Amino acid sequence: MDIENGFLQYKQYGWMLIGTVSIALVFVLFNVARAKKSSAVTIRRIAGLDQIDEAVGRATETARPVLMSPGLGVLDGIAVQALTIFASIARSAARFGTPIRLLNFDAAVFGVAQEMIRDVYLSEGVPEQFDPDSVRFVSDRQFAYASAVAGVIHREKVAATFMMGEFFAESLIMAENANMVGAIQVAATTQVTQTPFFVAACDYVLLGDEFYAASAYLGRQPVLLGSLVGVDWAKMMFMLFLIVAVIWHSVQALGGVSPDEVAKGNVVEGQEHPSKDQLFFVYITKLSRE
Amino acid sequence: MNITSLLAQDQTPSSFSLLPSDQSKWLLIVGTVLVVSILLFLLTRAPSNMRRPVVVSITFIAGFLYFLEWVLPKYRITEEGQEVVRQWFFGLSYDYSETVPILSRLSQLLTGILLALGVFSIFRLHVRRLLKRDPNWLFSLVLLSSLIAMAYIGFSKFGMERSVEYRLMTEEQLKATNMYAAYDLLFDKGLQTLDAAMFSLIAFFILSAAYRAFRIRSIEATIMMAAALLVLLSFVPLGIALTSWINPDSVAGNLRIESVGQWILLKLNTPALRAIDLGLGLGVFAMGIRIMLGLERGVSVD
Repeated sequence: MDIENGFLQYKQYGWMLIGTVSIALVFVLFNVARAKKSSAVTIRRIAGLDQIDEAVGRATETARPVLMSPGLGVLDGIAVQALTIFASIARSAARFGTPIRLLNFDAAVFGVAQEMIRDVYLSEGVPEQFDPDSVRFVSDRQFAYASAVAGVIHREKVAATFMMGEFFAESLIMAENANMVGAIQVAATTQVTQTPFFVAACDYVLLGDEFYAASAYLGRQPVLLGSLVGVDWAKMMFMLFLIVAVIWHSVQALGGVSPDEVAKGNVVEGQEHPSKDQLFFVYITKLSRE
Repeated sequence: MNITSLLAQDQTPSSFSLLPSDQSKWLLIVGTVLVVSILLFLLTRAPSNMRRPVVVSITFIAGFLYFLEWVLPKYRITEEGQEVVRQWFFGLSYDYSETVPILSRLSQLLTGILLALGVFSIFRLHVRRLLKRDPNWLFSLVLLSSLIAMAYIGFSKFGMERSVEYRLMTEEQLKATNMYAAYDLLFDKGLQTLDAAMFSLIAFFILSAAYRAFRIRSIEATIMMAAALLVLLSFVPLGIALTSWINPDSVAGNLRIESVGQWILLKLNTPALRAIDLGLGLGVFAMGIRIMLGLERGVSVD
């Protein structure tokens, strides 16, 4: 069979992508397996997650609720991570008897969140404290959701807000309203365009992959910490690749034209250095996208 | 154009095209609902040590289906464009890629059911507030009446659009109907306008947040203030005029305010955002593996 021209997704994404994903996968799985044998993995301090107990404690002292928002995302890895953090917050709230408000945008996230919070109260031995109305589906329209959250913040004078997940233009509306009532704010978003707004308006912000490290950080399970080490290895691989690529690219760009290119007739008269398309890292990038 | 030819144009299959006379389809639907309900009931009754492997297995299989769909080759690129390869392994791979979207509709079905639960939750909360005469009962009344009105108008419009009379109407006749006017008032003139009002608030919130963030309290805040000022100036004519006397073609041209602003955006801001993006990508990757393998003992498994 003639497969000389290649298959669409390998032409689109390139073999480099599949190769990179495979290496990252090996790093993560290897470190998860390694962590099962040895529990010597540690994790650095994440200020935003350390503030959970303090924020819930303050809400208890002032008898005001803690508000949680998983953002506008559907039920995916981001929402699951947000709900895992919220479970930890709800656990603290259940211990102190602090009221909570978990306001949802997506119906599927709402369904899972309701069951999850109920389980938390059950596992803490205070199922009677769980108020089914504390976990609410609000609206699946962006600004209707934002106005509902802002309304709850003002009416109930929340003491702390935790906004974690996918946020878009509504992020600042919610964060600024919480600021008006003097709430402690911890935020994390996977949308990098919204991160500056949270940095400007909130007390603590989880940056980038700190958000995904939360379950490992809060649970301190060796296996989860191992997966973080795997991610760190992948990051180091990228950094190493970057350094090698910059040096290689620079040396090649400053060097002379190759005799092969001259033989092929790809070199114009008077050309001293290789053209952009002949540089290795430009060549492989184009190869994978053509 | 007669009614029969109009109806013949309706080729789009949907759940509404299922007629009650089609016994086998109804039987299949009822049977599927029954079997799934029994399985779910058994799963909820099972002890947690038995439930966990079942949930982990389903999660792994569901995740693996999408991974396979991404990896397996489907289309071959030729001189003419794309073509499907239907031989041996590649044929199976293509069929598989056609099947996965059908499976993903199951999750859409689940979301539909959960949306009904969500609406019920709103309804219950606000009816209770209304009956108890909660201090904010007026808001609940507005919400409930809006909910009922919007649902009634929305469903009525949907029903009207499927009628034969509707298809025979011209646009002018359509706009003259009460239903169209009501929908226009509630959705286009009401909801959309309220959305726009909320969106416009962001401008004021940006100002108040920027005021707090740019107060010089630390060395980081000072750097941020200086960078922001340079970038802002690089976008306004007054700022550009400040350094317009520098020759843009000379080496000193790099110190013109618009060059400095672009340099901050492209050489400092963009790499930082890309680094955060890379961290996020790797983070969600590791998270996906943890969920698939059942290591994430959060909401996914317990």
